[in-house]
Amino acid sequence: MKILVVDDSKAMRALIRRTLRGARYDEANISEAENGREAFDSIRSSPPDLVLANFNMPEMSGIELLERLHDDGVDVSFGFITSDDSEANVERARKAGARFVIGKPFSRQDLRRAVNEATEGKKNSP
Amino acid sequence: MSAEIPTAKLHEITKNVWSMVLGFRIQPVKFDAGKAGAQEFVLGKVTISGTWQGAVTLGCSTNLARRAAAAMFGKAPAEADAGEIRDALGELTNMVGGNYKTLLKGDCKLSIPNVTDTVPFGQVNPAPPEHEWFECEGGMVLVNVLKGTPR
Repeated sequence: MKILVVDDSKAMRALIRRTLRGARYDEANISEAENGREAFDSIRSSPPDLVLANFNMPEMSGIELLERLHDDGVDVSFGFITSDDSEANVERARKAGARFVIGKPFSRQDLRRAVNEATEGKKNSP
Repeated sequence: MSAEIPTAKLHEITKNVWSMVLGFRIQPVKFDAGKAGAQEFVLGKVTISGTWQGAVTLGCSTNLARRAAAAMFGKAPAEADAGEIRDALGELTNMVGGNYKTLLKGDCKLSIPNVTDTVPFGQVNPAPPEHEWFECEGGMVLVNVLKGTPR
């Protein structure tokens, strides 16, 4: 399974990567991007099974990324991990097609549950 | 602190972020100029704009900032470089500020964090007594919410 982690913080990307490993996604192919623009190019060239993105980032935000993918007809499972999980942001994320929104700080259980649900049946796929 | 959200809530957010992300125990303490005066700090700030205007500052003493970065990157403190320390403190600030923002009413936007390192005690802004203070792992943490247009 391929997971793309999109966050402008290198520390947060490292933390998410480590949490995924500890949440039994140790065989997943995890790649990283530091903003929406970089992620967009990566997704277009090699679509992952799941995108885990921050909401608020420079260059292109996570929500702009999801809306642009939607406009371009790219169908990819997408979840947000954000410290700004206000009602307005959660609603905008859901409308754009996000599968889940996890607030930061998050527990390993929060992440595992959300990723499990969003990738049902893909965990053992190549 | 100048805001509508109770100070206890800010304490709760800070403790939650530090314990869940870093696994560090953090305790509120009274401001002690004698203890803090000899330290240098890494300061992160996010601004909130919209129906509520203001800024949230999170800082910690340099040794603790290094330990926090090491915990986030999963490495030994001695291996954390200056960029990683700034990045980690920025993310912690983003979490405290973002969690604070979700408690505010109305439509607000959170900025990207801005981090300044090696700030001597005398140059901490707002002035040190204005902050909420915590002790953690032998280091010091400060948090401030300032309502109004940030300078």
